[in-house]
This record gives sequence, C-alpha cells and structure tokens, in this order.
Amino acid sequence: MRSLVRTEDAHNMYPPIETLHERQARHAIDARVVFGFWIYIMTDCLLFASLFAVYAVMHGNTFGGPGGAELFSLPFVLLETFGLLTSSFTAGLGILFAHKGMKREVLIWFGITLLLGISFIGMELTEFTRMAMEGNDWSKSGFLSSFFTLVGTHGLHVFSGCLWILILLYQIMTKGLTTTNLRRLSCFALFWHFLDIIWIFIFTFVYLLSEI
Amino acid sequence: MTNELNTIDTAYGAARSNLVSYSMGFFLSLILTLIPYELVREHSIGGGVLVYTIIAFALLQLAVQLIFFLHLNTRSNAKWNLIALAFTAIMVTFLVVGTLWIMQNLSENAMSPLRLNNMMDLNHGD
Repeated sequence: MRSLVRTEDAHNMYPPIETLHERQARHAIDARVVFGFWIYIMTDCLLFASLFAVYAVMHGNTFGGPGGAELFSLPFVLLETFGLLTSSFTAGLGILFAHKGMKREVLIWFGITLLLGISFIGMELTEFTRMAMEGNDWSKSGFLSSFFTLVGTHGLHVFSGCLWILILLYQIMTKGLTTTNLRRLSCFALFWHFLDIIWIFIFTFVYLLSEI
Repeated sequence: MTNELNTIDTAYGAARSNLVSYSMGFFLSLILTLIPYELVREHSIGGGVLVYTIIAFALLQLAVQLIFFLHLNTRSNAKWNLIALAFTAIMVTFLVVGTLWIMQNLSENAMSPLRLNNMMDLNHGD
C-alpha cells in the first residue's frame, strides 16, 4: 500500500484509498486530456505560422511610413522577453510543487507567473499606445497592420493565459490540489511555455531582424 | 515503486520534470536571447551572415524550450506528442515557405504603376 502515496505531503493530492485499477483509469484520462490540449496547441502553431507568413510578406510595405528600425526600442523588448522567460520558469516551478502537493508554494509561484504575465501585457500596451499616439497605428501601412495583428494576437493569448491562472489560483485556494486541478495546471503550463516559444520567434523575426 | 512513479510522470506527458531541468532551460534560454541581441546591437558580423546567425539562435532556443520546459522526449507515452509536433512542423514549413515563394513570384511578375506608365510611354514612342 506504500506505493499509493508518493510522499508524506502528497495525501491531499491523490486520494489515500484508491485501487490500482482506479488509478490507471485516472492516468488514462490525464494522458488523454493533456494530449488533446497538445493538439490544440499544435493548431495554434498553424495560426501563428500564417500570421508570421503574412508579416514576412508585408514587412517591407511601409507605404512611406516608418519601418521597424525607427519604431522599435530593442532594450524595451529585451526586458519584455526576460519577463516572459522568467514567467515560463516560475510556471515550471509551480508545476514541480504541484506534483509534490505543496499548495502554498504552488499559489506563490503561479502568483508570480501571473504578475509577470500582467506586466508583460502592460509593457506591450505601453509600446502599442506609444506607436499609435505617434500616428503609427495599424491603418498606417501594410507593415504595421501585419505587425499589430501578429504581436497583438500573441498578446491576446497572454491575456487569456492571465485570466486562466487567475481562475486556477481561485480554484486551488478553494478546492486544493485535486486531481482535476492538477490536470488543469499541467495544461496551463503547456500553454504558457508555448506562448514563450512563439514570443522568441516574434523577438527574433520581428524585432531583431528589423534592426539589421 | 519506481515503475509506478514513472507511470505518474509520463501520465502528465510533457508537463513534469525536476528542478535541474527547469533551471538549465531558464539559464540557456536567457543566454540564447542575450547573444543574438548583443550581435544585432554590435553589428559586428555582416548583414547576410547575421540574419542566418540569429535565426539559428532562435531555432536553438526552440530546441532548448521543447526539451527543458515542455520535456518532449521519445518515451512511449510522449511519442504521440512528438508525432503531432513533427506533423505541425511540416505544415508550418509548407505554409511559410509556400507563402513566401508564391508572393515573391507575384511581386516579381506584378507591375508597379510607375513601370506600367514607362512601358506605355515607350510604346507610344514607337
């Protein structure tokens, strides 16, 4: 029976009395849900691939307006990137503690992830409003339309991710680290790491390449 | 016992690993962000080479994040994740390369109004 509970503090995570058969059934559900979510992420990859393709075609069409080199501030974007990378790391730490059944640590690390996510959106909105105030909004040129669509779609994903953590934090606070909540956390972590990867490509292809 | 722990780990497929893996991934991704950033800022390498260099760094970063954060591997439970990813990679390549190819062709064949006027002037001259 020892094998039913992984560590001393894991009792609130896995039901203490659970037959092997029940546990196998639960794992089968977990694996299926996570795989299904992975398939969703793959389709989201295709969405971003089309937006990247549009940007690649349009990035030179500035219609007499400013190009990326004049508009973007690289140090600012680097700070955004570091914030997002760190949030991906803290989400990973949160998952580690979730599997150990340590509720308080889970709340802390996912709380930090949420704060970093919110500050990322704040920085992005700051950049967008600065550009729009200078008259360089999405209606200015083909380049700016594709820029705002690509980066804005990513920002929208980060925003929905933030809402998702907020709801998850509430659910963990009220119901604890239940099997269902663990599964949700796993899916959320996948989603968050995926957004990090998309941002790396935006950082490289949109921001860095515009400076060369 | 060990086998059962592994079952739990793989049940979450891509989502669980240890602290070392996450820390390594975090450290590597910071480095792989800073190097291309500095390269672009310094402009020490020539334009064409620099473009391919920073794209190479992005792909390295992708590999680092897939391995250390998403924990993709060839273990049996994660195999379907990997197959789905490979399929997506092929579709993304078709989509992006195909778009660029077609649009490049179109823009070469399309005539700008300026060039069209010049052509018409030449024709009138005959």
